[in-house]
Amino acid sequence: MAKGEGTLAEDVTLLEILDRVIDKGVVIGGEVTISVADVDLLFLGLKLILTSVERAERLRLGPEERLG
Amino acid sequence: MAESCCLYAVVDSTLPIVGRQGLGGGPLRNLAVGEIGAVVGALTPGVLEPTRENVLRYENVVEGLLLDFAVLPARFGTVAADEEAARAAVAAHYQQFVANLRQVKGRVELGLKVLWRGDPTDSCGQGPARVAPGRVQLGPGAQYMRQRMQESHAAQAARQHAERIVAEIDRSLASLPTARWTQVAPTTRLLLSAAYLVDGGRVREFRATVTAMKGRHPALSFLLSGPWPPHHFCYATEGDAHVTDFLAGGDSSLHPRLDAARR
Repeated sequence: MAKGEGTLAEDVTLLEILDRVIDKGVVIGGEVTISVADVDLLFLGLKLILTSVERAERLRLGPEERLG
Repeated sequence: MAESCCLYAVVDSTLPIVGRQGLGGGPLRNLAVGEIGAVVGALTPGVLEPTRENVLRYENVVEGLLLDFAVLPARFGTVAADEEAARAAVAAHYQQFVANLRQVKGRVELGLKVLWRGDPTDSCGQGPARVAPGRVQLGPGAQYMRQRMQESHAAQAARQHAERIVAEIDRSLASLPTARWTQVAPTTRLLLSAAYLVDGGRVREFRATVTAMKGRHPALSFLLSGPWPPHHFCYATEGDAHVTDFLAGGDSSLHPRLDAARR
């Protein structure tokens, strides 16, 4: 499916996808967890929302950093 | 032993999914929850690493579902302890999902980003005000404060100019989407970031309207993308989730912060 227009179409497409897939979509707090890199977020109360790749990367840090 | 699974989407059908695979290459399963379905796949190591490839593949999986169903995509990385937990998660919000699926059925999301081609303060014709040099030499502190004031005035003028243009864009597109999500001037160069929920049969008309706007605003760059699954128009239980303005008398209870966000 073609996305975007112009010479920057590829970059725009990736950014648009990231914006949607990482930051939007169905969120059901409490019953399921949002998890990246096999990090189980249940202990954080299942209330975590990823808002960016930066945040996703941060979740890959150790528990001390995550909770701090 | 129960195995964790990825939740990809909630769909408006309980029909089995044939020939489609999840991120790890395993088959997708559609778990019936009343009259709707929770689409899940096996959770295999590495598939939820937030890499470019995984994110693109995730979007491909969801877009594949869009060919057959009304789809509410789950956020990347949504995991349930097992299939029963996924089913229970969807069942706990069943009525909201049914209503939300009704709103997106037959519709797609279109993305629109509008950027200034140059400096926004130049484009609005009100760059930093030039104060005529006075007879008194200003000290460094006074010069700094005057510069800050000029910049502040220019930013305010640019913001007002942006709001006027966004209002015009809203008027031009008013009859086309059934819902919209907008951010005005989230950054200096980005005038508008928006998503629109549009009937599948009106996508061409929407594109033509945006093309016409391009001609009227040579100082702006319009980036139209899609059709997408309705990522911006999905039910969310989280308080800081995105806010969607359903134009056609939609149910704001789907989006807890909608009323608060309306001005």
